[in-house]
Amino acid sequence: MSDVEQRLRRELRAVALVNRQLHAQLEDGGGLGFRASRAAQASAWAAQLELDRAPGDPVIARRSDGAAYVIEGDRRREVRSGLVAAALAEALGGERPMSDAAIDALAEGVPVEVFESPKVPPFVVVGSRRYPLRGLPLPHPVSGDEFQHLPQGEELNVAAAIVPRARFQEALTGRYQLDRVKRAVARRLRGRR
Amino acid sequence: MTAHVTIVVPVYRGLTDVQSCLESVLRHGASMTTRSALLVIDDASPEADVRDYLDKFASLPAAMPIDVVRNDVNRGFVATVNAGFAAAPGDVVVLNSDTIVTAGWLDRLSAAAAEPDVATVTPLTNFGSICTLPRAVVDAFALDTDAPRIDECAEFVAEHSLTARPEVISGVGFCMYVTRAALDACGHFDEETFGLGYGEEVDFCLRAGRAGFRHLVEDSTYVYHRGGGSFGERREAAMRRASALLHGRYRFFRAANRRERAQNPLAVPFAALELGLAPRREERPHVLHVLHSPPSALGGTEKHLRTLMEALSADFDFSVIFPVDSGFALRTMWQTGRDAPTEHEFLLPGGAWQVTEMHDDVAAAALRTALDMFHFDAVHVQNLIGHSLAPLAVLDGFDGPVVCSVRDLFLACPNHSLLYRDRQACGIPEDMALCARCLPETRGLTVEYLERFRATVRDRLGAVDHWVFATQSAADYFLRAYDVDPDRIEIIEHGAIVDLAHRAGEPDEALVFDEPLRLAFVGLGWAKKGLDVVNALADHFADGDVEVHHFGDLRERAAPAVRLHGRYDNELLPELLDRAGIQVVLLPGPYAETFGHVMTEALVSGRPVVGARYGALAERIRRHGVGWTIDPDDPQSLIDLVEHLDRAREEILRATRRAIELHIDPVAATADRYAALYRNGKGEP
Repeated sequence: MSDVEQRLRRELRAVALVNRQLHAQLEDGGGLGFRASRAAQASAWAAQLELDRAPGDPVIARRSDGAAYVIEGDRRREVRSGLVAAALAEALGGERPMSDAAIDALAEGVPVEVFESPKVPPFVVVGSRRYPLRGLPLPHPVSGDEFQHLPQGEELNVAAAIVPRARFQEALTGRYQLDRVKRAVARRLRGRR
Repeated sequence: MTAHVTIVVPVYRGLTDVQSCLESVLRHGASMTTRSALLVIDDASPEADVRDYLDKFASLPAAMPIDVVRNDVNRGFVATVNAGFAAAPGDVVVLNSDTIVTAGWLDRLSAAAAEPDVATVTPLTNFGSICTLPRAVVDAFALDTDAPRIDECAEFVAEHSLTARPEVISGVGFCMYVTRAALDACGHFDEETFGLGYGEEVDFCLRAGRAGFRHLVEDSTYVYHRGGGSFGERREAAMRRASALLHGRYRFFRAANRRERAQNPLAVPFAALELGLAPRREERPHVLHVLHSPPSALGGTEKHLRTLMEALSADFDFSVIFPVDSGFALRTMWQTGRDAPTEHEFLLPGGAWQVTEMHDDVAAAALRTALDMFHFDAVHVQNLIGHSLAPLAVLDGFDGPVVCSVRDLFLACPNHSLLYRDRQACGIPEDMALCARCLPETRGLTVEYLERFRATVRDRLGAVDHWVFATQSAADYFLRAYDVDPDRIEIIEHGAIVDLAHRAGEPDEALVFDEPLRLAFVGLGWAKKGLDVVNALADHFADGDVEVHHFGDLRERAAPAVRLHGRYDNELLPELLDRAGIQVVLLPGPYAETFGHVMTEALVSGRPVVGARYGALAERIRRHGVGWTIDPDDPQSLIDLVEHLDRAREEILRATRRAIELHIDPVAATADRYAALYRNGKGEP
């Protein structure tokens, strides 16, 4: 082997060693590790979802405080994203009416979160099926400093901004408006007492 | 002076250091090709012995012109250096008097300085800011001690360096080569601002940087620097003062410095040196293992591999390539001394963790890179999951022996458990109609994919010189899918991966005859391993005397009647089974095991085993008479067997005796056969 080849081989090893050290830092969550720690969390969820396979069709239900859950067998899985909850309500045939007590009595399962893979579009796993997501705004990574000089505005709550289409259509009906007035009157009466 | 390079050494105090420094310059001056002169400036040293020494030094015979000049009053380091700059006709090396130079130092610094637009060049050292060698190198050559091995270190650095000459924001003042072009363009050190010392070289370098000059680190040159002596206790205060001055003058400097520290332009050159500290002993054969997970993982395959490598560590060096979440890692584990193996881990180019393509170009590139990085005498494929079939294509061109252990039947079917819906064993059917139903459901693949997959494997079978199976039944399964030259097939039982010191002595007759029948389902609790039939068994005997226990993690729900013991340590299984009063171990899964480490653990504990009527467990149970076989698809067959055993305790005792008396080899006993394969011989015992 020539000197040049030997030197290249040594350089290849050194670069690979440094890369592994950098990668280990990422895996440990040090500094740049938020993405890696999310990946570790995703792996843990994937393993748990494998364990938690439940028979029957999943349904979506909402507690009175607005928190949405996918119900799979005897587990409730919180859907933290309003966007995803609305999309799932459409896909699963609307929200199932359930009392808070009934939801709370269920065991807590893996939250319904968006998974990302280099090979397929982002998706959620519900009822042991993979649901690809369309229309999800994907973040574009920046190094961290590019926009730091700009002042920060108010938080935009995407989760709160979206309502299921079913609820939106319901809001257009006279019955919904009547109920809304009744609830407002009841609140005022309670206030007077 | 007419020299091309003038070595300027300002001297103030510390005779020993001064002597060592100047004599090292003379010692290595004779062999240098760079034309140079030595200018020693005594900055009105208060130490008589220093003055006397310098008087004599000027008249020493030397291969270079020597000039010793003396300041009338102490002018300080910066002004003294500036005087040197002024006196020198060409390039200058500013050399602290507490340094010791090494062979070839000036030639290499001078060569680096000849690169375009260079202002300064700094060598590596043991005490010099960003140019300080990695801790491991400092320790290896005792550079922090009273007996530093300076020349040895310099030789080591010259041999293992990449000569990458990385660029830095600023050179370091202990030994800084400064080009005449930079001096002419930027002037001398700022004596007025930094006259007390510290920061003057950084200021100069930043000025030169602004003028378009570069500062290089000569990473194949080592110069010893005792350090800390120049300013004694005032060092910290001087550094703080210099930092404030520099920050005031160059607002970008702190951020740039932080970024440089974070990105570390010397990381790769230093990595090369660290790797050079423990080189592989070339006379030892080097075997690369291709594995599906980190070798430190807890699975049976990993534990078996670790045990095997340990058994062969006297004669072989090993490395393992395995997928990680951003590519592939290569872990080298070499016996470089008497202690534990020296380990390093390298990241190879790669993509997503789980390779799903039939032939993944990234996996191929990673393996090729590994084979380029080091010389390997043999490759042992342990498991291709996560690598795709690409390694077989790459290894087709490998000139050493390639061994492939068939630990599961991934090569026969991507659904390598050979179970439909994790429950029904297919046994690699001739009729692909079953595959046409199974693959879309279990793997999202088509039967055409399977046909292409097998055709690809068939094309690449020739890459493997030795196919190793732990049992004949595993080989038989494989041969249902492929024609393999019988001469290339080796049956090597895995041996026990647990300590055989735990082996039972005599059967506990009281336990066998007088206690309720207790059965232990051992291993991961899911349908693939037989949880369904175990649940049916437990439900059947829920109100009776027969107890069903489970040791291990649960992946699916166990029946209420199953007594759960949770995760266990393989080494402690015999003790756990003793404590629970277990007489028989259940391994009733439909998965056709290729060996069955858990079965070995059960036998080590002196328990007979109930296993599927096919696969490796059946083969071993029948061959040694150490248990019973059942049909995993028929829970009733297990219930019938257990009812029978509950009545016929004598039969349990006989099987227990055979389990206790069975000869079980440790993994180490099989090591010679692998060693023979790695040397391309037949794996005869």
